[in-house]
Amino acid sequence: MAKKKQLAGKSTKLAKLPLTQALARRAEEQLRERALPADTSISPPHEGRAHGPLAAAYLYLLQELTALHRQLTPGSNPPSPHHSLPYHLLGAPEIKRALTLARQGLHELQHLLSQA
Amino acid sequence: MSFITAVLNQKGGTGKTTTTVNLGAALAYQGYRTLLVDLDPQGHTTIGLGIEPEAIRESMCEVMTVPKKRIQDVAMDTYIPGLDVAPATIHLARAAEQVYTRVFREAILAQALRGLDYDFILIDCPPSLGVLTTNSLYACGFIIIPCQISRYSLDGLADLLTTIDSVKNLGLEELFQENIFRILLTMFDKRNRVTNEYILEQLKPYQDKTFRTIIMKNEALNQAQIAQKAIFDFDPRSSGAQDYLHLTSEFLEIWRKRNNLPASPPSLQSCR
Repeated sequence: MAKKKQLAGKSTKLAKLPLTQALARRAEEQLRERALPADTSISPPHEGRAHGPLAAAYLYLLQELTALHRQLTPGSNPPSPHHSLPYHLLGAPEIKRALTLARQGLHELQHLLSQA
Repeated sequence: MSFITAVLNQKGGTGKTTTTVNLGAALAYQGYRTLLVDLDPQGHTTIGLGIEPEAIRESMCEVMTVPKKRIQDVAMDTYIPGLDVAPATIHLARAAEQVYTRVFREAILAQALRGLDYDFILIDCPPSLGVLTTNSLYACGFIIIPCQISRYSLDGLADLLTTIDSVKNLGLEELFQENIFRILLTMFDKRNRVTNEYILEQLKPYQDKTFRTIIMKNEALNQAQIAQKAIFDFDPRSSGAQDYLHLTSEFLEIWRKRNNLPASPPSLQSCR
């Protein structure tokens, strides 16, 4: 087995120390704060949720899709896009997946609009 | 008022003495009156500055065991102007046992260091968590923890932080919010890539509590010990000398912040 693999998951006394855990939590919070977008007009901040330009774009996309959904199916009550904002900063594979899903959704919408 | 700093790690061979000697020398060369307190019975800080055990009449042993014995009575000049050392001999090991019977035994060193006319006092601690180390923790306002890149050093660091927490009577919040300690990575060898990656990952939460300066493994530092000189006198062009100069700048930065003093660029010329 590769030497590096044998080290994976090996924890130390230091890692279990409450001070280490408190410092790690603080570093994570600081990272989130740094990722806050300069312009928050699109996305009002939600406590404990991920922010940043990607989150704002994601939210904007959801808002647009919800508005279209309302137009096409009047009377229905889709969930607020704010509730769909992810709790964590999205990783590259998750963004790719979200964009694929959005593209599928847009295709379906296009189909519905052509029927309307 | 002196800025009292303990150089501390209960694990042996992490670079406590090398750090005490070279940081002390750099401070003295930059014009700061500095005292090194050798609290390790091995007396390596004392020997490292060219003082042979036979030349010592009184040492930290007397300070720790004789009531009201003053540091001024035992402190000796070194070959570096402005740098004094309160020496240690092997007798200090026995003294540690005697100290246990004294009242306020944790505060003996703090009392002895009170009102001394030095800008900086650096305490070289023994590699243990006994009464001598507790004394230095009680006396100091800042702690440097030299830490080697090894798994056992991390475990030792955990024990040490727990001890600091209990001796200084600090809560978790105070310990990480206040400028109480800094970890100093020593004997860093770039070739040990996998170990370095693992240890640095483990130390990530302590990024703000770690000196930016890393002391790289450097043969000149070992040779300077044999020559009984500070690295600035033995080989001022070595990477070891440069590393300790950078450490001194960072250390002074912390000291200035603590005392609300204006920032000042390090004076490279003043170190030989």
